[in-house]
Amino acid sequence: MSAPPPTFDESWHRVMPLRARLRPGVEVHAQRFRGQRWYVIRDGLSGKFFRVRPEAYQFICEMERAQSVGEAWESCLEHDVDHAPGQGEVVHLLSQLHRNGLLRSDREGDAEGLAEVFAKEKQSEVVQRWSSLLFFRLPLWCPDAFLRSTAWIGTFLFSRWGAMVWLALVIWGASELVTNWNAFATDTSGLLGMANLGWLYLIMGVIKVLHEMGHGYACRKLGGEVPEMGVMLLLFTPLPYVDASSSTAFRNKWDRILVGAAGMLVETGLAGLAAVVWAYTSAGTLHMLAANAVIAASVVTLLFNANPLLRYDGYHMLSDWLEVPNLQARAAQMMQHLVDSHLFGLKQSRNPAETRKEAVMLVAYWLASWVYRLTITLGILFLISQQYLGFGILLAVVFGFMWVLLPLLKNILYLMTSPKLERCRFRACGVSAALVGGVLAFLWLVPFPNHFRADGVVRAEPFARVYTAVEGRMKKLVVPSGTYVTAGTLLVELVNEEQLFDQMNLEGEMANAEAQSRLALEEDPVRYTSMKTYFEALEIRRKRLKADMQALRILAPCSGLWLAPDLSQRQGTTMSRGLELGVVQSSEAFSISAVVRQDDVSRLFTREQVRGTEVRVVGQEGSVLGVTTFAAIPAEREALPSAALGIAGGGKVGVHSHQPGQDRKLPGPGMVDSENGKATYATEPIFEIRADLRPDPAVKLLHGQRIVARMTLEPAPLGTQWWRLLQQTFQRTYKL
Amino acid sequence: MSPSEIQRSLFERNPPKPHRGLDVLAHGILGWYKGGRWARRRLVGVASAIAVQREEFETLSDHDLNVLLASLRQGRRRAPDGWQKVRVKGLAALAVAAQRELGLRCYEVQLMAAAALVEGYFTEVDTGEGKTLAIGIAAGFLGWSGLPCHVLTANDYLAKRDATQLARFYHRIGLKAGYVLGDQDENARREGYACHVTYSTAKEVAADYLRDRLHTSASLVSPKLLSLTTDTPQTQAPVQRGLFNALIDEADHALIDEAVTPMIISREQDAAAISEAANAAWELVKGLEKGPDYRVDLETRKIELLPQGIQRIREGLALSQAGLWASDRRRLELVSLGLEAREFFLRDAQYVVDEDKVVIVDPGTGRPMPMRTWRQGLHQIIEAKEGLPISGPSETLARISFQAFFRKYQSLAGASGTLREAAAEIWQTYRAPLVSIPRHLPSQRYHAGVRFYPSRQLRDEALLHEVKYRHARGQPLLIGCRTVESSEQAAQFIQREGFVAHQVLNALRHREEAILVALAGEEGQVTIATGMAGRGTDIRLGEGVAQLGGLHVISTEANESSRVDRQLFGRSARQGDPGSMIAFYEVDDAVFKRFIPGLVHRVWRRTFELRLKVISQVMGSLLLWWVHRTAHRLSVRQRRQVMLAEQEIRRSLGFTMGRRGKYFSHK
Repeated sequence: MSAPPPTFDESWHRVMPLRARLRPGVEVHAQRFRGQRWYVIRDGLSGKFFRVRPEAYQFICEMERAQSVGEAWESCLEHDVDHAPGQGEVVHLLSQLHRNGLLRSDREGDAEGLAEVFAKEKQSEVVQRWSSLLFFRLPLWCPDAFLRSTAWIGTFLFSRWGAMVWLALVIWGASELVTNWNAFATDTSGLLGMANLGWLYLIMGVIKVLHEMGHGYACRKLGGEVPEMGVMLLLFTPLPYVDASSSTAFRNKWDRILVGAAGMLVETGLAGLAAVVWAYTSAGTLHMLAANAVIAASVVTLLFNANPLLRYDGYHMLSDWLEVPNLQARAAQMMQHLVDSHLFGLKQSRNPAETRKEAVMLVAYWLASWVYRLTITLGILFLISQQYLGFGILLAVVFGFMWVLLPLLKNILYLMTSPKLERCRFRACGVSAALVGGVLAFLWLVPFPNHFRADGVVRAEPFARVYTAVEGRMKKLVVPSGTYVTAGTLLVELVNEEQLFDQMNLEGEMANAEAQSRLALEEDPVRYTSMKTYFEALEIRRKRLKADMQALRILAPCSGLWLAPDLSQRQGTTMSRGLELGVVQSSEAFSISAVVRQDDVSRLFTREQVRGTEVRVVGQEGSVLGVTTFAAIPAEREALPSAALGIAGGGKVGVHSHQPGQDRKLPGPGMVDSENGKATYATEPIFEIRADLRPDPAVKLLHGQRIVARMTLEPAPLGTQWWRLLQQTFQRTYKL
Repeated sequence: MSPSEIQRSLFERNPPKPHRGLDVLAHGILGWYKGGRWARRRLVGVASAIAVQREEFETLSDHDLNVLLASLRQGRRRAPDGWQKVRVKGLAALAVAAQRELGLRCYEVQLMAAAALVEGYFTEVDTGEGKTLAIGIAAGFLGWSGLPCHVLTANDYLAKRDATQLARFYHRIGLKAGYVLGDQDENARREGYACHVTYSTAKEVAADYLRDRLHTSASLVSPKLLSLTTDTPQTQAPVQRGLFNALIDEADHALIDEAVTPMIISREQDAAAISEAANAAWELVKGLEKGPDYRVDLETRKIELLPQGIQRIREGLALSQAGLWASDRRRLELVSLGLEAREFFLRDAQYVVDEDKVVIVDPGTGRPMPMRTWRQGLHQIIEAKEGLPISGPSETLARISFQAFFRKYQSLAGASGTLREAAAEIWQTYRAPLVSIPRHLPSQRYHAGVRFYPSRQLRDEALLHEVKYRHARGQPLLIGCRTVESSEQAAQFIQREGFVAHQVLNALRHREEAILVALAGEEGQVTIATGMAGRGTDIRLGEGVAQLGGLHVISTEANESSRVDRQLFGRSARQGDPGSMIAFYEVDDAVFKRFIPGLVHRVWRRTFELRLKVISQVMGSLLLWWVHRTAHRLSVRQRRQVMLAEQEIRRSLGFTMGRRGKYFSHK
């Protein structure tokens, strides 16, 4: 527990004889934050706010009555000695009021000092404006008078009738969208197309102006002033904004939330209206604009305005709802306090959170917004630099300066010079150095599992396809699919009635020929010779027929698993010649053939050794297969082991359809799935890995299945791994 | 008084803002150049030119010299800014005048110091090289301009002494010299300030500065505004005549050691209210135990109350539940103050009890500071602790730190024997460069070195041995201690060991200071003194003592600041006399304990146990250097913080400044 500020203060003599009070025109509003009473002091001129505790408010009231500050303090003591502020607190309060220009006293005051403060503030405002490029604001107009003269709009909008109209619009629009969803999807598929961007922006501009007007009317209706409207940059897109900060003084937090939500309410209403318009117009400009409007008014609102992690409506609403003003600043203070008190051992550090719950909330908010901001920054950088490299680099430099270098410098400066850390600077520096050193050491010294993946296909050894050699009707599936067969086992029996007839004809003919040749032997030896030749010809025909007949009995070409999944249903159908009936593949010996892209090749063939390989079959990710032998073929290829690995076949490697030219190497044997004859030439050189799989009865393996092979390499620290990844990304994306 | 007169007498410079960031560095380089050997070479040239001129003037008759002095003085008055043209002539004439009136012929180095002072330099003049005369000549030159010149010395005694000693000289050159001392009334003060050259102490001048501003109705009135007012707002004419020139003797003490001490003008309030509270709090504190009830952080000098202690305070504080102390929070605060009084404020170290009063002892000079009080409540509890009548709490009316005060002078210069360490800081804070003046004669000081001992007993034995040995030779001895308490202990110890002929000079016996100092240089004298016998004390050697080897200084306790050590040693071998010194420090000396990290300290102790004589002594010297450096840096940073904090207060309490306006209709 930190000690309370002492009762007596050294500067007391400076304020004690003064007569001081709040400046005229300053308003005080009572509010409740997390169950505690606070008073918000608002300066109508500067639009500044200042929050004080009831004790301080009590003192401010006493000041109005008393002849001097000293007298006011004494009467505070008389009224409530337990809660009366100490002298130090009074001095602090007065100085804060003075600095915010809320105080007047019977002294001329230090105008020079105030001017200095003002100049400094102005300067820091400018710096801040330029340093947050993402949130640049340019004030243009004071809409207060306009809002006042058209107040009836606000009165209507934020009344029961307005709410009903809004609800009706939203429901109607939503139902239209749901019923016509497919049409809507097709209409908006080209939303981000170049041709549509202009329209989208136009629509967005109009919607945002109405959105801001929504804030304005809400604020105005509840009694706040709206002194400023202008243009700000949201992710480099100029959009309107309105200053409704006077709502901060509203007593009821739901009023404040309503002002924050008003813009989004307007937008969702508009989205509903646009959906209705879209549904009831036929194709044309209006139709298209309405579709655009639906997206702009709903999706964009939800993404940006409602997001409490960006400092827009959602943030202010959250801040009001949680009753934590200045959520972001306080979250940062909270973190600072945690670091100061727990890491640096600064005992005097004051906890900005009043309750434990608030502390947890602040920390959670800080972490979430930090992660979010990091992600969005990196995302924007990546997105932009893909299109415009130069601009991207410039942006990266600016972001790097603003969000990495500057905070880093600030922190170092804080560590080195902050008087707060006087007593524990050594520890603070030590802890910081240890932390940074620890993270670096962790990243660059602690080895982590290191692996890369390659896509491939399963090959069975041996493997044979079974075709019909002759046409025939399937008579019988002798061996059902999925059975293990030895070479020569009868798999399928076909019948071919024509052949039978042929056979019968032939047999008749042969009997006839034989009888005739016997006759000729006795009668005409010359004819005998010719008959013999004829007979021989018939014999050849018979043999061929027999072979054909044989071919109707389809035998297993090799030992292995007989796989013909849909053959049993084709019983009795006639099959043309050359039809693939199924495959016979080995059931235990499988190998894989995987392709490695150039990026990872260096890791295969240089110092790093492949420690182990794990193979997962696509579709059976649960089980992992080991390999017995492993070989990386150190030669560049272009032909893929299977068309399935190319982009056309659902893989990742880019392929082209034309045959490699003369100068290119001929594809190696077994590399081309010649049967389906698809394009299997990679656009980039690839390298092949072959490995024999260790059999696993639990995994059903089939020839040609896609697999992912994960090669485990020598463990490497995360830093090295990430650095390589970054380099590769840069190389690939920017061709650097 | 006319408005313009008032404006003039309230003159003060608007202090320049302290530099920040890289400006500090750039400014530092400029200061290094300004105080570098180029400046020194140039000033040596000026000094020899003055010396040549002096030879010419020495031949003048008294009457001709008077005519010359008068014409020079008129020239200065006519063109106060044209000092460069007349510096050589003027200083030469002044030196001759000093020679004729005081019989002291300036050394060339003294002329050089005077020339530097006139130019606005801080000068480091080795201890015992005759600063007083150099300052006097410079003050004469500045006083000729007609603008008031304040010569600020370390204490009242020195102010009076110097003013009296130099009075004839000032009279001769057509100036009036006066002094302002702590015990003078307003009229005497006004008279003192009305002189051309006013000898005083920083404390008095600052106090009068504040009082003047309080009395002229608008505190801290700005001269700019004042010039615009038609009505004369003051109720009483100011006693001072504006802050124009200041020459600070013992500049490092005033500008560095004292810099953050606030000068406070206060009014004593009714003691009844706080007296009960203080007594009740002390009664309770007596019953609290360190450990179960509260925890003490020696480093930050903070008390932390533990739950049991808080419980006991809530139940046990015999104080009526009314008024200011009714609130639980304030009751705890009150008792915390009591605990601070018990743990950190020790009798005869931080304060002495003199004539039923708690008198704060200045840690730097060891002098009693009867006008000072600790912050509200604390002082009263300490009085309760000592069983003294409770004085009324003082209500601050105005307050300024010496640092801020000196920055208000239009031109500031000063001299001291120990400034080197503070050169950079003086340049940054006061924008005045520093130049080192060479010695007139080679020093005859023999430094016998620093010896370290593992225990108090061994140190005392060594001390005794040294005392006996030197005393036997008849050399006068000055034994330096840090606190009143330790000086009394040393006295008892020496008495026990059979030395009767010794004197003790500390805050308890400050009334005998002049006599003790006068005797200290006599043959066979043994004087035990706190820091009082440091700065500014001129111990004249008795007859024949120089042949015996001069004054021998023995330091028994290390000081946080090396300058305080050097000041003590500077008591011997003054103005060409021989002298010697030695230091005996104990390993567990408070200063070592505070600044040396625990582990290193243990290692150092261990080297004694292992009888690694050379290592332990060398280590001690290194650690002493390190302690001085650390303490110096710490205090520099503290002073800078104070300056920035003051600036911050000025900015944040801007509404308290300026004249009372007519914004409210007064009933």
